[in-house]
Amino acid sequence: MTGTTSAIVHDGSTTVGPVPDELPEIRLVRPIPGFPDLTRFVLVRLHDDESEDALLYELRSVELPEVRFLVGVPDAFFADYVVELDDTTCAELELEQADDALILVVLTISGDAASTTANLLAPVVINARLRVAAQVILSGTDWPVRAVVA
Amino acid sequence: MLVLTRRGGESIVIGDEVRVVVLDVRGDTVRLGIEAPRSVQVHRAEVYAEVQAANAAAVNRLDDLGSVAGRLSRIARPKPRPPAPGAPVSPDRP
Repeated sequence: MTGTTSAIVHDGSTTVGPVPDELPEIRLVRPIPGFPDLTRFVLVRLHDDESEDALLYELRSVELPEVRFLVGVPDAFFADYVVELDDTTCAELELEQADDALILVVLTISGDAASTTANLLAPVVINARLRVAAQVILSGTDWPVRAVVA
Repeated sequence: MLVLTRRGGESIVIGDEVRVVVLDVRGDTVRLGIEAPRSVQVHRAEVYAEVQAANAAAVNRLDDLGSVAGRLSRIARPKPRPPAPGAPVSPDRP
């Protein structure tokens, strides 16, 4: 059986180095659930994100431009959010320490744009240095799929 | 769907690299062990379905995210900054 010990814990207290406003093409090491054929994405900071530290990005498919996800920095909205990555995930993403990982959560805007929820169960984990990423389902935790942001 | 009947201790092999073992059966609960290469993700079906559905719903259809971005920026808490080197540290109070 693959190891399940936690190799990296990301709880928002580690300082990720300066995050660029745009990350040139990112390769998914495994597809996003529900989108099996898409592996190439770019990460672009939203124009309207005027916060001092980048909060909001769009993760856009290179292969299918209409597939784009609003993603956000979870620490800004969920003070207690902790992500533990097991050895397998760390190996797949070649993460050696917590600072290597950029953790973003997929945000869903309601039909009337009045409310937003975040998927805390399956964050997108990016190795910004190597530009590889995966949406990691945190099996065994009870983080919500739809946590209310606003 | 292929249907197989197994007893506790028996296994199923899927392809060349995946094995499912029935570890034990108690009442209506079956404990399964799964051996698979790390490239193969294994999840409870309902969890995987939930993430798939959430992703499908999350595909952004708005071209103008201005109002959403503005609202979220306003409620975000600022990232805690480490104290500047040399900054005075207040003594512990009883």
